[in-house]
Amino acid sequence: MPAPYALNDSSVVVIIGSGAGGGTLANELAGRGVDVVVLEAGGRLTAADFRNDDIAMFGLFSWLDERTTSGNWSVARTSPGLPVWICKGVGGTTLHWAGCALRFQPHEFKALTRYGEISGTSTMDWPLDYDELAPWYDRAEDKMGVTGTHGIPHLPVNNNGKVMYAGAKALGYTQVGQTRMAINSEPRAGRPGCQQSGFCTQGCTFSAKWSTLYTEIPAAEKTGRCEIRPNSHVLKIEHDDRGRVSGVIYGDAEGNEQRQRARAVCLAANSIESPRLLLNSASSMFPDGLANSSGQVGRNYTRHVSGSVFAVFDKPVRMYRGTTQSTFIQDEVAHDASRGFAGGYLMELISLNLPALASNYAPGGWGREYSSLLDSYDHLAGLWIVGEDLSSETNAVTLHPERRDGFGLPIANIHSDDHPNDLAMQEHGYRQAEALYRAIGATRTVRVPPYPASHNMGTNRMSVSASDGVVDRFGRSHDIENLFISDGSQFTTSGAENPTLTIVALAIRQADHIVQSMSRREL
Amino acid sequence: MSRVGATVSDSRRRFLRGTAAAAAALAALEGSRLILGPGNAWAIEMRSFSSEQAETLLRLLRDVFPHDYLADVFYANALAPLDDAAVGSDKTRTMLAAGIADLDSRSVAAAGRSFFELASEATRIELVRAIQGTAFFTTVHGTCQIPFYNQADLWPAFGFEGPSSPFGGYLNRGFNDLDWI
Repeated sequence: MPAPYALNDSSVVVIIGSGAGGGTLANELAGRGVDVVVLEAGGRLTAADFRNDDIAMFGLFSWLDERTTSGNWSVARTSPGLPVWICKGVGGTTLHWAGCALRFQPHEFKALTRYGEISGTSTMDWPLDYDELAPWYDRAEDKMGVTGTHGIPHLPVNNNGKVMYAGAKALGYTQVGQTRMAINSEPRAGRPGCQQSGFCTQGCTFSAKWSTLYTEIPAAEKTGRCEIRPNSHVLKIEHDDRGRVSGVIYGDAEGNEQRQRARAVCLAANSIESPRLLLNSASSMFPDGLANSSGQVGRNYTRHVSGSVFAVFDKPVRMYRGTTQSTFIQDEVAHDASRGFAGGYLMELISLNLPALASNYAPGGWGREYSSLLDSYDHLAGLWIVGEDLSSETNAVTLHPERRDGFGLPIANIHSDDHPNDLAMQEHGYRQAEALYRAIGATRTVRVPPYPASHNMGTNRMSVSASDGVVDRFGRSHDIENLFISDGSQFTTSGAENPTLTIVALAIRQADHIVQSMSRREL
Repeated sequence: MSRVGATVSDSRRRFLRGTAAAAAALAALEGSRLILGPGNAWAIEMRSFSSEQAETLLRLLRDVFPHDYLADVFYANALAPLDDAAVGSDKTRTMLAAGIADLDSRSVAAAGRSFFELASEATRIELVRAIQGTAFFTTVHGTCQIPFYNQADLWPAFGFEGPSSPFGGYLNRGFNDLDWI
């Protein structure tokens, strides 16, 4: 039956969220004849709504619902009310992502085996390996138009990148290059090539950057098998007396509660909202929340080891011109225990526009030490350290005991403590970045603490055993056969790489699994 | 500097540029609260702060986000959201007024004159450091920081070029023009 679908149509697959996971899954399922309803909490923008305006775009599509924080992570001090920076709206966090589309390294799927038991962590091996995911990575790269794959040229080197290349060479690094980016370097798939505007995270005004908003979502709708329902904030996943999910309750644009029946539910609401929704869906049959017989829902929250370094030079750089993250260094991303920590990190270009740099580079900063860096704004170069964050059961998304949202539901608290491994890696990264810039004449370097986390993973992790994870190797709940997790919360471990490509690869693979299960009448 | 006290009930903040306009504003807004630029070149109406209070806040903001090459008007503009916050909440208004009074009393105790009249930057910074953990300071800092740096008119002074998409991005306008490496 073609879209739109009735609320009582129990033949549809309901997807909660329309970002990298949900948007991709919707297109893959609809393209293979599955009827899909996508419920998106936010509204629907178009690329014409995007402006080169950090502050306005932040307000337009950020997820700003209240959250609380605990733990010793620096973000709990610097940004307690906005611990994560993700998006609300059709397209999800692909609205503001910078476009880095990197595969995990093979060893990162074997974190426990490779790193060994580390006290204070809950690291595991993934229930699948690199070779199994490789063909799905390949399909994701083709779908997203990733540069450096499928004959697509890399993006050109910009000013900030020139500084990174020179610094890397001076430091003796050999693995500096152009990042694989899901940003068109030339026209492809009906979208233009990158115009080097420099406002990647404000919504790409040229649609050169891949976002499900104007790729997967309209493609899914074109099949006639997918209905996108914006302003539909899912409050609860319901189940029948056999313990299978049967539908969802959501708040619509007017604040009224609606019930959409479902054949299966795929949850892709990001690593904060997905576990929150499972926990808020507790029932007499599932008193600890849905899919939570293991007690792992919300646990093992990872957000990547993070930190930035900005460097002042005596000549202009103009780092803000051009693609924000188009050059990177891989010399530190391998696992090398001799550095004093497990896992590795990447150094990726980063640039912030003046208002964003002023408000983010030194939380609470003031006076001449603070302002003088901004005086050098057009002489700054910058890079971002992004590395593997080891899982811990106590780093967790939980329900706040008292605070409630506009629908009367408990809000999420995000607890994270830095592990000594995280701090050792971050310190190593800061030192290497400072050395890199000093090696080519930087007159001042500044360490910038982690920003509100945009890479949020692990809170419904994949596992072989139903006792220590939430979903199986296809993202299917161990407990409930027609409930799937389709976002980064299914990651067993964080790896060092930006998560989006892996989310998309897993979503394509999951769609294949769902279609096959349906054809075998197992779903 | 001319100062005008008392109150105003007008909910619309007015910014006027030019000597004649500012002078006219004085007449039109008799009884209102204004920050005036040098030579009355501009005037910004405040609804929650007396002129003295506003001048103190402006002095404080110059010490918090010091850029000597920027005119007072940029700092005065950044006080507007603070004024709005005070209009919207009696509690905030009272807290800010108390914070200003506290800063002044510390200033008088330390140097015999109000904060605004303290010529020594080093002395002012010592006073600000002593209050940097207060709700007053964090509110002023947190409320004014983004509005201050988000003024497009001040970006050229920092070498930030602002929006680029309307000009076709930097693809043909120097995204890779760095030539000293």
